[in-house]
Amino acid sequence: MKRQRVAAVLAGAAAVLLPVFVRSQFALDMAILTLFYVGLTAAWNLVTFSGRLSLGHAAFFGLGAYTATLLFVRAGIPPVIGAAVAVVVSLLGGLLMVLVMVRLRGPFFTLASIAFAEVLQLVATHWRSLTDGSVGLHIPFRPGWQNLTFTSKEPYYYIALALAVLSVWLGHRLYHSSTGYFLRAASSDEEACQALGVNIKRAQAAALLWSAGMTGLLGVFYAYFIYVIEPTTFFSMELFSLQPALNGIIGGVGTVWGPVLGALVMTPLGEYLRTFLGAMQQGLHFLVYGLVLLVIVRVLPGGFMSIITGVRARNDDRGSGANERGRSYTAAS
Amino acid sequence: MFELTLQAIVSGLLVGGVYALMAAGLNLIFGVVRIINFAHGDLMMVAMYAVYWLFTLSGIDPYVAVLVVAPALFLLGVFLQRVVIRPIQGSSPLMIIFATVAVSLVLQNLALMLFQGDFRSVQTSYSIAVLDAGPVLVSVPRLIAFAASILLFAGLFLFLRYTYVGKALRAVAENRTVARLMGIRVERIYLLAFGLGSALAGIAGVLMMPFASAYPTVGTIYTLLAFVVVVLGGLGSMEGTVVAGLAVGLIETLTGTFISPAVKEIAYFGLFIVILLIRPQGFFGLGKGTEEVGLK
Amino acid sequence: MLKVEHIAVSYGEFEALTDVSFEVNEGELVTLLGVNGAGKTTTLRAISGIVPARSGTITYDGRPIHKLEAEDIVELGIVHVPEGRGLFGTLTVRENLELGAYTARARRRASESMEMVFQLFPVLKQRQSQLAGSLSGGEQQMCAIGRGLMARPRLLMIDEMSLGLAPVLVQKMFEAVGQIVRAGVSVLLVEQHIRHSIRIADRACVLEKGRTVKFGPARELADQIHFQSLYLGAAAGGGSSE
Ligand SMILES: Nc1ncnc2c1ncn2[C@@H]1O[C@H](COP(=O)(O)OP(=O)(O)OP(=O)(O)O)[C@@H](O)[C@H]1O
Ligand SMILES: [Mg+2]
Repeated sequence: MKRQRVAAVLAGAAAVLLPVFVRSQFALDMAILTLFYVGLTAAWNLVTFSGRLSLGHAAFFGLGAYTATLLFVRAGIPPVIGAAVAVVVSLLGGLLMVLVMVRLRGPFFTLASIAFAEVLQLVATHWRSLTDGSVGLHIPFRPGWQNLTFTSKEPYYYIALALAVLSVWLGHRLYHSSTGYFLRAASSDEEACQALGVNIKRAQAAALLWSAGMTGLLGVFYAYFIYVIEPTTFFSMELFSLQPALNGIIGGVGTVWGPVLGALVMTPLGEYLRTFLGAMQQGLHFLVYGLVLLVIVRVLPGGFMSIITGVRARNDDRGSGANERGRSYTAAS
Repeated sequence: MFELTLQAIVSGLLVGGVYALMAAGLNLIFGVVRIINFAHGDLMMVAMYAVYWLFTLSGIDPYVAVLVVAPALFLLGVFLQRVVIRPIQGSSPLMIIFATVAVSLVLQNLALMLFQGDFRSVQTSYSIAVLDAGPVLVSVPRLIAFAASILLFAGLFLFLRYTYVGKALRAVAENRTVARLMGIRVERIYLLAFGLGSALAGIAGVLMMPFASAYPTVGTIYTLLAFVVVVLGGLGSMEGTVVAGLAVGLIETLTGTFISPAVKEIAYFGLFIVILLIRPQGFFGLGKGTEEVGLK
Repeated sequence: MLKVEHIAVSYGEFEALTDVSFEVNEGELVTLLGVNGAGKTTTLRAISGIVPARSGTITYDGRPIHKLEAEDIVELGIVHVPEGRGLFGTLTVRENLELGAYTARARRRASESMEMVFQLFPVLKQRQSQLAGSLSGGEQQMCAIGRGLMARPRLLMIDEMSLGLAPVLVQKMFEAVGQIVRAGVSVLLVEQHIRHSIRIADRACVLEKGRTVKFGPARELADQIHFQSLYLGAAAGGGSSE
């Protein structure tokens, strides 16, 4: 326990001091992106506490980003206020997904989440009068805290760090709350928990809404970080739906720290591949993700996290009486 | 106006036939193996590239290429089931989703690495041929695609209905454990189902190639489309798949014609979510085992 | 012919069988008795290879079979008619029967077997093109047994044969079993109608909490007072126990 605390303090200090020592713009960019993905992955991970896999978080991300940007560009409302509205709009999107979630599980929830993000992307592309379609919107360069626009990278770094910490902290709080406890109980048997009078649906809705709001907030950050916003990027399935999901799965789905670990390892690796080999080999980055995922699924279903904790997440054998003599059958050994 | 409507209906039905064929593959895999294959559209993408390269490099006509592409996709499906799915079958549903998502990522990005992101299409002599059928114009390759799809459906239906293996497929879809008690080698039936399902996706890809383009992520949209069809028609229901495929084709062309081409995708994804919400069992009854993959 | 020795089976952590032993000879009818949850179904599942035996041996004609896959065991002529019939409800009666003869060995004689099944259960012939799911309970059980016979069994294992059937039908099923045994097929029967099954069985095996507590000639067993009070008492009505 004590050693953990020391490690946490050291890690915190290192994170805070990093921009002081790292002068390379590339490295700082990489660090910002990594923290950003830590936040995004941790936010995505909240939904997995309910045993659901979302591959549509780009929806909340894009909603947040577009809301804050539109308010700024079209109405001059500064992003500090815009961010709050953006979170509300993402939460509304989250409410829609809650409606889906109470009815659907497994692949069907996943599919609906993909479709949701696709629809929003299409809307953003075709509602030109509002969004300028695929041309996108430019956030005017007016440096200052109130405009979330800075002339150097460091402020972005600290914002990303704060958001990452906030996101992980949310996960930590949720995981150890009674809500989190119910959710974990329910992910093995939803009906049974419902029958016990525990309001699982409410707990699941809470998890999804926290997740959606946090993702929307990260969307605002990213919009101001790259200051050009257009539908294919900000509703990108690969970047903001798949990548956090992959980080999370690879790191260890359903745990608090697994997704953090996944993002910390996979983001720099992915960026490295994209930057140094991407020019020669487009696609290599996600190919690596895919292959790592295949290996994880096969040999390490608990993700990287299970190496650390030494406890392999048990492959719960809920697949009915089907594979009774299959390799995964516990009685066989 | 009348002619426009008629034209839209005809085009919609023609393309709907191919959608149905592609979705039938997904549905077969679901029904028998109980796997929701997120890489289904990507299998189609593989087939489309195969057609493109066979045509471009050796001048092989797409409709001849099917003789190579369909068996190749069958083998690819068998390989996926054997190497990716089988080792984790029976583990948590989440793991299985991850596995097929991983396959999808690998296929898409291999395509991107090998062929870059360009749109690739084949220009055959009949690519733009049209049949003047009174009030409507009928695109020849689309008509061929439709006719071939219907023929294949008939073949599939006869196969499932009248052959021993076809009956075994249906038996496994209904109850794996009892099927084993009959001496049916369930693992082999899984391989067969995955192979056949992939081959159907492949054939759909071949049939579309004369009027569509191949690019690495073309599969994503078709995976979703196949799901729209399967969910609409009912998981495990082949008859439902045919009707739903045609319906989705119609929705696409009608919204495309009368509202805006931009709206057509929104229309069917919106429809998809709404269907999932109000009637997840589809309109042709709830297939067996839907609860196993998380549909109540 | 079939010899089960000290088998144990677990479902995950739970030990359903701890020590089950008995045997079935050529042409013999053996009945497996025990209260709900005693492990009768599990025993049949272990023999047919659907669940693995954790320890112990099962031999068939002197050859160990407990490591074989279910598909291979059917091929050997051990056929399991599962609890709850397990018909393919969306397939027709005829298709169900045909699938019974799926193994290469049985398929060669499929049409001959079909005739035999129709003779035993004429109603199936009338219903052959109907979906199995639409049959009445009694007809379903006939179809399930008929499907088992299609596999040309040397040993037929029937689980809960007359569960939920009207008394007339129960009588009919027992007659059919008698005919099957007379035709030279060994039968391992799990039944709720204990008095009835003990009367027609050659030997009986009593399971209690996953272990064999008695195995011997059916007549002897029926006479034992201990057994009567312990077991038959609960099911004296002759209907389904509990
Ligand atoms: N798939 C399973 N998973 C876990 N436990 C099981 C499973 N099947 C059976 N059991 C347990 O194993 C024990 C033996 O069950 P089994 O079905 O063999 O009993 P049975 O004698 O056939 O009972 P019944 O008369 O009710 O059919 C029971 O306690 C049961 O709860
Ligand atoms: Mg039983």
